[in-house]
Amino acid sequence: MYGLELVAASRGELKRGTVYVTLGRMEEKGYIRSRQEDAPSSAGGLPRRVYEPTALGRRVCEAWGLVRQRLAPRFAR
Amino acid sequence: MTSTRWIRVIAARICGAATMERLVVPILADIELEYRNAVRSGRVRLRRWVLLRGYAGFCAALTIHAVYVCASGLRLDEPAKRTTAFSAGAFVALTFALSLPPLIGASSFQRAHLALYSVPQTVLLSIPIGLAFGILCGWASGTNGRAMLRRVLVLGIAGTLIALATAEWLLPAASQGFRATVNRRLAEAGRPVPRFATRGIAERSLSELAALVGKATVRRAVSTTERKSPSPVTRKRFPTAPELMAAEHLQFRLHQRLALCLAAAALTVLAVAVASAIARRNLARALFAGLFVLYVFGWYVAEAAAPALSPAVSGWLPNAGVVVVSAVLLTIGSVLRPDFDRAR
Repeated sequence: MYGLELVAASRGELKRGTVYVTLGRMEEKGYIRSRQEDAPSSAGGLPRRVYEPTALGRRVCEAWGLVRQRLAPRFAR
Repeated sequence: MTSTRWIRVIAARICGAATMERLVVPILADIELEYRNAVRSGRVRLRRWVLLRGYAGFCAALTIHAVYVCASGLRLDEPAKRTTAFSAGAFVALTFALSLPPLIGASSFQRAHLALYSVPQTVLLSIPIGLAFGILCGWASGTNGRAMLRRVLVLGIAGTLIALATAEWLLPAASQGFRATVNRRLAEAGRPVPRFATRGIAERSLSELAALVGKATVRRAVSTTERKSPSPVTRKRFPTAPELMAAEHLQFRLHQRLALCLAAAALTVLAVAVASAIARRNLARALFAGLFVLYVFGWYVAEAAAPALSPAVSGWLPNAGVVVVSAVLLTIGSVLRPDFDRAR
């Protein structure tokens, strides 16, 4: 997905100012990978970057989901 | 289609290749894409909103990235240590000098209280001036490259955060304590004590000032047009000219204090911009010193011009001037100093 698509899909939880900084840090840690697309055909267009999770990133996401499920009832108490 | 080329040129002078590739270009690509879609829809207001939102997000992203770079371990080389030492020394000396006058003639007990209360009041001035002094003194030969950015960035961010914390928490309490101590001194000396019904502007934090401004709905009342011929709404809220003037003054002080808190950040950007354009150390120092003097003068000009301009414009005028000059220098520097990336 593109960064802008992630912002739209998060329904306001991700902000434009922080999404690319966060994606950069996640890429440094190996949770996601990115590739640059070719620049659009319109004059002066800039190439966009597409992000996708790595296998490690998917495992971390699943583990985090499990932790949240287990901790949520305890915090609710 | 909107062109982000000038932002890319300026960003390339400040940011490394990795930051350009992972942060700057993706954000600018998003701005261009959204602008293209807005142009296709034919809505002018949407185009402007897209640009405003996009550039605001761009500034926020660069700021957050700068803080992250500083926090993730910055190696201080000799010029950086020199700059830090000179800035800290100038800050301490200036704070001491500015805090001294109220202590003259006071008893030793009162002196301790007055010193405690007057120091936070001088911090907002000492930070940017101390930083400028440190940058000038630490500007050593052979260190006029982009590496200079890292050296002053930490100081700029630290100075800005300290200034904001002081303005929000320390300054109001210190001003109130200072006022109470001075009143007690006057009462002990048998002199008439001024009676203040409420806390003044100096005794309020940034958030309290913002809340007061919001309550007075000054935003609607202080445009130049409104002042010349007030609308019925403004006339109803501020029936007398002194009330309108007081509301304008309140908003001006809020913007001025916020702008002063960000003075350290503005000077950091100016230092990098000057280094980006001028290779020769002494010439760069002289230019920075000259621009700093103009910047200080700009604060007085803004204060004098406040009645004629809107409070937000006059409050932010000096910092806006620094940003414009920095943008011009960074753009010029891309032509004058193509070796800026490689210089250490």
